[in-house]
Amino acid sequence: MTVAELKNACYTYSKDTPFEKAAVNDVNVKFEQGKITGIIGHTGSGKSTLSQLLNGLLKVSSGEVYVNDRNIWAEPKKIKEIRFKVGLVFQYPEYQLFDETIRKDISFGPKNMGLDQKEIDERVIESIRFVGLPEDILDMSPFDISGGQKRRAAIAGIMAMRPEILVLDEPAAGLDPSGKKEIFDRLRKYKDDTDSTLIIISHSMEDMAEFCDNIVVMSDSRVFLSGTVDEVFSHSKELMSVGLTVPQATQILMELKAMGYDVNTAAYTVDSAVSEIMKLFEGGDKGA
Amino acid sequence: MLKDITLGQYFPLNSPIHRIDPRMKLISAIVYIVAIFFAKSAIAYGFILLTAILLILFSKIPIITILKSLKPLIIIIIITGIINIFWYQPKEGAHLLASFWIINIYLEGIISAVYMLTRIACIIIGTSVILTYTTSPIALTDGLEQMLAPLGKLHIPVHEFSMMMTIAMRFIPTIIEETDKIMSAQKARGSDFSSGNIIKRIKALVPILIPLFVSSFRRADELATAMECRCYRGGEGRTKMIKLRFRFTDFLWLFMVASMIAIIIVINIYLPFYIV
Repeated sequence: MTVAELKNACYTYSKDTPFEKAAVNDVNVKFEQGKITGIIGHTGSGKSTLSQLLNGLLKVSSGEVYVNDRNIWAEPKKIKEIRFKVGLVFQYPEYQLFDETIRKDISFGPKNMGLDQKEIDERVIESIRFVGLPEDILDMSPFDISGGQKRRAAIAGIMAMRPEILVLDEPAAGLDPSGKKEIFDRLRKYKDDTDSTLIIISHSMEDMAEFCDNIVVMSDSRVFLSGTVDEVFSHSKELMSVGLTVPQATQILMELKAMGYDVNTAAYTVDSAVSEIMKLFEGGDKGA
Repeated sequence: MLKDITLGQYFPLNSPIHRIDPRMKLISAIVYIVAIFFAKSAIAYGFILLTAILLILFSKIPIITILKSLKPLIIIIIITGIINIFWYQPKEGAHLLASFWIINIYLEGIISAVYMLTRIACIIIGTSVILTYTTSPIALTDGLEQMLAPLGKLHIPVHEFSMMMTIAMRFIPTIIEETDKIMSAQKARGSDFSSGNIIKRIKALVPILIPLFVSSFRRADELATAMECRCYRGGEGRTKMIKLRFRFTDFLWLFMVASMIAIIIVINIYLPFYIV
């Protein structure tokens, strides 16, 4: 089932000035309910603009955006509702923390939704658990906790709005591998528990290959490739032609193939690459 | 979007005016303004209008851009014009055009209003073409620093002030971008900056201002560390990569602007049309 869809969406920055630049150009994408979709692309390929089109922070110059089969710009006055439905976590969300305590900061979104205090308190506790922070951190100042904790508190601030679609722009940027894994695991659990949809924007092929169900590749303001992870990574050569790297595991397999070994280069996780290579050893006579 | 605000925008082109030494530009901008105030005769006003147009043409800056920069000042210009028409103190031989109740409108009043408008427009166009549009902020502060360098003898920290100016200007676009980002992030959490009464709107600014201050302090701290890492020790004994040197064309330029004063005085004396 499709929860969100962009139809012929275009967005142009600084329209009608000499600095005019199309950031998103004739993009058609569908996002499926309950799936994790990764949007991959270079800096400046339009992926961040795409995320802001989805929750109505930016208005499409032409084309349509549908959330739950409703054109979000049909009633521009109700755009705020869309922002609660499609929660957007910006890059480095820790820089948006402002209130005296983490508790108040996470309450900011739900408060803007007009919920009553009891409901807000419940949601604060719920979302702080989702991101895996201890509850006693709630009464600390957001400026007294560590960077990784800040990041998670900021993500909790969006989760507290219980969005049906959670869009995250580089949620793991600047985190170490274990912090990265922790964030991704927490996000997946959140998605499973709340039956929501995740859209992750990143330029890291490795992370996306591990974590996503579907992938949309953006290049030069357009959708270059889209499909399931398997489909997208079976086009390794095309990906490399637009300057995107494929996961290291796939690179090794491609090199092996170039050397004349019979391997399937569509494998993208370390585990599947290992089993591909093991096959070579098992059927040893076939190799060169 | 906030990004669209023009803040004395530098227009990087390669025109004769872009190439003039920034110190000479600062001096000539002052001379240009002084020259404008010398104008009395209608022909002198026509002459300064002509110089303003020539400036625009020589700088190669699109006229549209300059007209746009005048747009926010239109209200001030119109009000000044109206005040000039009504507050005109009639001299002998003034031509009364219309009169109702206590308001008298004289031909001379209208002419002086037109003069005033020309003067304001030329000052804005002249200074923005000579300085802001054609000089990069860095070159401008550099020029200012070198001009004020003698004040260093009086223990005035000229270099430090100009460094502060340079840094402040350098970070204006960065901070605008950051404000944009924080605003979007808070909007994504449902804050609303454009509705409600004034108290509500001011309160809505808190979630923007606090992160903005925090990140500005952080950035200042990082910049200070980065500068120290590169052994920045203030201005003493510091040399410049690009040394400003006056060339012949710079003096020619100043001579041209200064000769405007002479031309205007001559016009005032020999072609005294509609002096009010």
